[in-house]
Amino acid sequence: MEIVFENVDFTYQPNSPFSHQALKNISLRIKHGDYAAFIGHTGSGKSTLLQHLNGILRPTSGTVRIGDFELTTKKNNAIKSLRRKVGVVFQYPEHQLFEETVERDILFGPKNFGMDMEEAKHKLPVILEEVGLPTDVLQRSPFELSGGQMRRVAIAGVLITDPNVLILDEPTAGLDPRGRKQIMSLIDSLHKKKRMTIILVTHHMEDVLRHANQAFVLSEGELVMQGEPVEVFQEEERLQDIGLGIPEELQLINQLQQALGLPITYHHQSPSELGKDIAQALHAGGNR
Amino acid sequence: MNQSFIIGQYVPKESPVHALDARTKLIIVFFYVLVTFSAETLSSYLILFLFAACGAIVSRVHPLFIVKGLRPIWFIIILTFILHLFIQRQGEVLFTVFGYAIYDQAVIQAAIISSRLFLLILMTTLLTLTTTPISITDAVETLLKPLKSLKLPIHELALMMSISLRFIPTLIEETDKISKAQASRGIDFQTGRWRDRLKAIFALLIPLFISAFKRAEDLAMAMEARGYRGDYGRTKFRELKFTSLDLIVFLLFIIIVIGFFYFNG
Repeated sequence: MEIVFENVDFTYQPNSPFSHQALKNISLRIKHGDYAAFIGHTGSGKSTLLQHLNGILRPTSGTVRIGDFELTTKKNNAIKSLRRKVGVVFQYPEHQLFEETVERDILFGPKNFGMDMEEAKHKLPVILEEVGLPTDVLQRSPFELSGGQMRRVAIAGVLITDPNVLILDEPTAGLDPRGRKQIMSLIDSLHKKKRMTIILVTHHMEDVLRHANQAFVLSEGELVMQGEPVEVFQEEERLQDIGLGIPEELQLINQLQQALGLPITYHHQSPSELGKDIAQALHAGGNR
Repeated sequence: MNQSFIIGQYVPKESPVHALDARTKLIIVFFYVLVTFSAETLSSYLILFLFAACGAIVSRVHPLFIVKGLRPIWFIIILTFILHLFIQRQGEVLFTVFGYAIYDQAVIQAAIISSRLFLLILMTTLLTLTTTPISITDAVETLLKPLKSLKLPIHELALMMSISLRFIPTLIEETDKISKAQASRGIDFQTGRWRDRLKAIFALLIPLFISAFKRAEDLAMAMEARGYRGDYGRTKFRELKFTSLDLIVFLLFIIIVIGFFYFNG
């Protein structure tokens, strides 16, 4: 499903002393099957923007189109079917668990959406394997699990409704490096194997560079930059002005270019490949 | 969700009302409430209203804050008015609505009771808008200190009060977050049969309770880690100060009260 924002404004509590405009004239397009990353400082409007994607919030003016759904200032009654197609993993999703068993919590979404429960039950083992949980957790209480496992249960509860678009708001916040890597590769496989459109909000620039094919930079409610991550990260100074950095790899490459004039470019090489490139370039430079 | 619900919300401003000692404000609000309950004549209500209105103007808090703060209460005020209008059966018949007689005494009573409610809420809202929760609890603690000799746990009560006040916004935020998460999982809090809606509330309340308990545990741990051991040997960082401004306001209030009783007959 293609996602299009057309001149979207959003104001919290309009016409009151608390009034605060969180989104200013946002226009963007995310194609079907894209892996889009949203970056920006805390309070830049990322979370507000995400909440427009499944109709939790409606624009104060402008239009949001998700596939055939159109969200405007007016109320839309088809919102429930939209929410089935657009899965949202909120920040710290483990806080939303509440059922007695993991199984019931995962099946909470399908039940609300009126899906075939037998079919959903059959899918449970597959989903658990995808998120990396053993099947014996199904009958346990979600509150007996560790924080990382709880987060996987919460993600499983979103995946089971088979969304076309998956939105993740800082899914790796508070996880250890290994947990972070696992979640990121889970998202990668959902993107590649299931052709899901992924929308990721993150503070890890490395993840944006490594995984996303579209980057959107928000600052104070405005969309200030967009494009391929490598291109966006070219403008280091502009990013620094709005309080963002660039990934370590690119920092290293930039510094090497400036200090030694090494002709290295970034083309998604792994750290060890990058090391080889640098060694090679240094070697060539030394021969000159 | 209920971000317009501002009971207990402090609005920082520099005004004489903000500068007053919290104890002064608390005592005045306390007696104001008492006096309001004995108000019977129109002029005495006018005096009380004038006092509250002056306070609101001097506090320089945006009037919209006050109006918004009163919004959840409007319903109760109007309901009280209507109930009194229909239940009171004294005096002369003023007019009839759908064959139901409305008495003149009923109109007066309804007006009195609902303006009482209005004044009470207005004054207490003004107190919380201009005083930080911390100074309110400090004031409560110092004012209730004499009861300590009766072995009442005043400090603990004050602490409980300040903790609960402090966590109201946090809990509202948390509720907002969880209800959004559950709405994304297809729950509908607004429409549907009441049984479904009741179930929906559980999906909201259980996570909310769990996180509240977790928060409480963390807070207790953090307090112990920083050597908290009740009020034993504890000094205050913010001391309440009684200034000449407080004296003036007190005198003003006494004059108002005397005027009130004069007009109240």
